Amino acid sequence: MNINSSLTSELREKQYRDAYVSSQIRIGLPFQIRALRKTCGNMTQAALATAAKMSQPRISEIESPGGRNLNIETLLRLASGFDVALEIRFVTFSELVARSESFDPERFEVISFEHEIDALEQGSAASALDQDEGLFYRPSGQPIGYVTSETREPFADEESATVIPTPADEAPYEFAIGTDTPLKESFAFHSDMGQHELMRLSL
Amino acid sequence: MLTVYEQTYIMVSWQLRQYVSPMGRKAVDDWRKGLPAGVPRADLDAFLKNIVKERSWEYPVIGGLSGRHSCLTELRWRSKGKPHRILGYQLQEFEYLMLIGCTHDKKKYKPSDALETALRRRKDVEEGRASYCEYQLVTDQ
Repeated sequence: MNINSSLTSELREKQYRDAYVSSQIRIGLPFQIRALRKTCGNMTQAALATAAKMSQPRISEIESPGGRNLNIETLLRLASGFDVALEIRFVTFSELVARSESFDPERFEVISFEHEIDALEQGSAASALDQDEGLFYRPSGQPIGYVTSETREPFADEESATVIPTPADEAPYEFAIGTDTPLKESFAFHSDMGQHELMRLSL
Repeated sequence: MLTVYEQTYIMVSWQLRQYVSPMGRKAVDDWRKGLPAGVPRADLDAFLKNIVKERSWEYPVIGGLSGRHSCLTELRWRSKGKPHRILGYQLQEFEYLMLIGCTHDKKKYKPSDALETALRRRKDVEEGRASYCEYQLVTDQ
């Protein structure tokens, strides 16, 4: 968290701090649910309603920022409708702020279990070749590639693929990555190409 | 050689502007200061931070107005069960000018002249009697 930011200044007030947490749920979650529905093959509200055993008007209300109090039972039904997991946990303000600030509705995707299991099977086959290899996932769970000792063709559904150079190359990136450097479990970085997020999944 | 395949992307971000009166008063900053501390302010901040990241604004986060006010749109959210609105209009692609903030309880705007004020402010901006400036989101930047 940036201690000089306008947000941190507001968060120093307990009243705003408490309100910030609830806003992430009442205002932020509807944006997240709508984004998820759109990245799930542009699922209609009616289709989500059927899958989550709710009515379509209720989905519409849930997607209205601040429109409805979202209780755990409702969230569980939505998770079931999307066939994704739901995690509810206590976190630091730094973590909450970081997640909120980096949320991008255009790229927010949580793959359903069916697609996840396909990706894991692909990854298992690859990891059998070399123990240093492994699938890389976005924190959202979307598979984006894997570490390998040899060049690999990108996944078929990748829009573009960028090879992140080894330290031996002249890398414009802000971090070092290589066989001699232990890989972090997850990391994010910025380059002039945009924002990148990677996470290593233990296989 | 260790190779990682990665997709890169650029995050879309709308630019929010706010009306500045001839006296230099900033419409949304002033309205925000007048909101009760706590939930209503945090909800406004969260709503605006989320909406600027949406490529296309659609119902229910934005709605068009009708009749004489059809040149305006309203950003919509609820805070503590009460509908909140910001009236404004799109200046150009990914740029929105906010003219006035208000609530919309039981189909009545508060302040009651919010629609007329928004219309007048739009005209004042277009005819050079008033201006606008960037709206600073409450962020971690």
